[in-house]
Formats: sequence, C-alpha cells, structure tokens
Amino acid sequence: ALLGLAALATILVGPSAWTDFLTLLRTVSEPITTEHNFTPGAVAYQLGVPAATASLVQLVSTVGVIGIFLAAIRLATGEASYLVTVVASQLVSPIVWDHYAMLLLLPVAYLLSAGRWWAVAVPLVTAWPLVGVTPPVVYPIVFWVTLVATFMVGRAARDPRTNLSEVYAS
Amino acid sequence: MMQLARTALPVLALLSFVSGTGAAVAAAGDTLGFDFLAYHQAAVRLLDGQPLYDMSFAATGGFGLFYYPPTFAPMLLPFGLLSAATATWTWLVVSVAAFLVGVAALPVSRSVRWWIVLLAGLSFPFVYAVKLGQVGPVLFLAFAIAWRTLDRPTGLGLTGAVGAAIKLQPGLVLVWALLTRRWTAVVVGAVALLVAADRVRRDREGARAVVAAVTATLSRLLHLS
Repeated sequence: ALLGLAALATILVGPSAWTDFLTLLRTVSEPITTEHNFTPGAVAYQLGVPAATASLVQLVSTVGVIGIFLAAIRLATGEASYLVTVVASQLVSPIVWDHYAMLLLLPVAYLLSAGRWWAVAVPLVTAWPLVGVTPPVVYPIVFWVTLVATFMVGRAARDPRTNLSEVYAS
Repeated sequence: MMQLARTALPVLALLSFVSGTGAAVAAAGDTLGFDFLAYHQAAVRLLDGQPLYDMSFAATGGFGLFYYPPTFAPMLLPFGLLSAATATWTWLVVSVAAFLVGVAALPVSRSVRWWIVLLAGLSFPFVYAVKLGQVGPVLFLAFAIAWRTLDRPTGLGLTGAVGAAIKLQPGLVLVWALLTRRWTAVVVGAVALLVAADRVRRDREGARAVVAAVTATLSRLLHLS
C-alpha cells in the first residue's frame, strides 16, 4: 500500500523534484567515511577499522535495530514499541549527526516515567559542558542503550511478572 | 526536603534551558542558523522559479546543502519571503516553541516534563540543533504529539505524515502504524503526505503570486507617498 502511495505521490509532485532528490542523495552518500557521522559503522571507521569492516558493523547494527523494532511490536507495550520506532528511525539512517540525539529525550521521558532514573545519564553524557571530553563512540552507545532499555522496560510492562530480572531469566 | 526539590525543579529547569540555549545562540557567531540557511536558500530558489535542489554538491556537511524530501518545501516557503536574518531568528523562535509545546504534550507526569526541560538545557545535541536551526525540535514536537495520540488515529496519522514529509526516517512511524494495524492512522498519514506532495506543485505558483501581489502593493504605496 505504501509503495502504491509513494508512486501516486511521485506523479503528483512531478518527477523532476524527486529524481533530483534521489540523485543528490546518491551523490552525497559516502556515509561510512563521512566526517562527524555518528553511526556505529562510521565511528568504527573513525577508530581505525577498515572501511569494509566498518560497513559490516553498520549493516549488523541496522539489522539489529530492525530486529528490535519488530520484536518490540510483538512483545512490548504499544507505547514502548512506538518509542523504539522513534529511536530506530534515527539509528537506521546512514548518516547520524550528533544533534539527532536530542530525540532521545522522548524515550528518556518514558524511562523516567517508568522509574528508571538512571536514564538522566543519557543526555548527561552528551552534555555541552563535556564537549571535547565525550568521545564520538558515546553517541552510537547511547542510541543503542536507549533502544534496548526502552524495549526491555516495555516488554516487562506487558508481562504480568513485575520484576525485570524474572522476565529476562525465563 | 522532597517539597523543596519539587519547588526547585521548575526553577532549575528554566535556568538550565534558558542558559543552555541562550549561551549556544550567543556564542554561535556566523554559524547561527547554519543548517536553516540551506532551507532558506531552497525556499528562495523555489520562489524564484528555480529548482528546489542545488545539484552542485558532492558531499554532506557543506554549507547550503538541502537534501530533504520535496514535501518539506511547503513548510519552508513562508520563510523564503523573509530576509535570511529575519527568517533565521523566526525559525529559532519557532524551534524553541515547538520543543516546549512538545514537552507539554508528552504523556508523562509534570515532574518528568520539567526534568526533560532541565536536561534539554544541558544536552549538547539539543542546544546544537537549536543553534544550527535544525529540524530536530520540530520533529520532537511531531513525535511527542504522535506519542500522546497513539490511540487516536487522526492525530497519529497526521503527525506521522508531518514527520515523514520533513525527513524520510520518521516515516518509519507510519510503517509502525501499519505493522500494528492502526489502519486509519496509516490512511490519514498517506492522504496527508499526498496533500503535501500536491502542495509542492501548487505552492510554487501560489507563493510567486503572493510575492508579486506584495511587491505590487508596496511599489504602489511608495509611488503614492
């Protein structure tokens, strides 16, 4: 259905704007080697991993994100799976600038509401007083930690057992 | 003690927010609205009857690169009628307002909302997004409203569509709505995206007509005075 609608949209907009858009995306896309890109693959590359291996890291990360996105739909509450989607929508992008992490304030609000006060650390490790101290690798880590934590809390909330360790021990 | 903390939280949150965003904007210098100016240039190009995209770019990160979907253009056109400086300041005000409205819309307790305001003021990604004039705060608002309206298909569909119209990635929310069988939200979102796509076509002519009318009125007034 979405593909059909996309085709309809293309007809409505007129082909030139869309083809220009796609051409531009293709032209500017060298995501792994792009400077200041904070995807897991790009950060691995910045840490000295060869481009091919870094691309593999990125692929594994993307597949993992999609896996958690699908698992959350099946196993977590609607609220949690929606917020997993919000984080996933950023993590699957081939380019992740550091400012994309501001959207993590949404799942952080969810985690705080669920009594997970450690979640204040997510924005604090990327706080502006720490610029120059926080290494780039922190960004993919906070994205991933928030993704997994939101999924786990959402899964536990849907489970009649109240203890997280009880849920994950089974 | 708890009472004191509860009373102090809003004060600390506002202090953090105002000082964090204020310092980022004050220290921005020439980089204020760095990313927004790319949107502004795209809107100006469109109003001048030129293509939306500048195809001369070969890499991301450079000044002036606009690579958002065409459906973002209708939202930007009003800014193209303003000078770059006025448009940038207007956008910054809109961004901060969008974020604060988004926080108010979060379906969480009041104290958690204050915590989010406090943390935003400390967050480099947030203050940097505001300084650059990025779309993040607007997406935050769309995501927050969608969260609040998860079980109200129209709200979810419309805000999902707004997110997808601005950037491709937030379109994942509509995929999520599809996979969780929120059919009405998907239809509302798809229709909204189609309307946005159609407006790209219409607005080019419409906005040019508005510019012509404003210019004609101004010149008539100048001749009269």
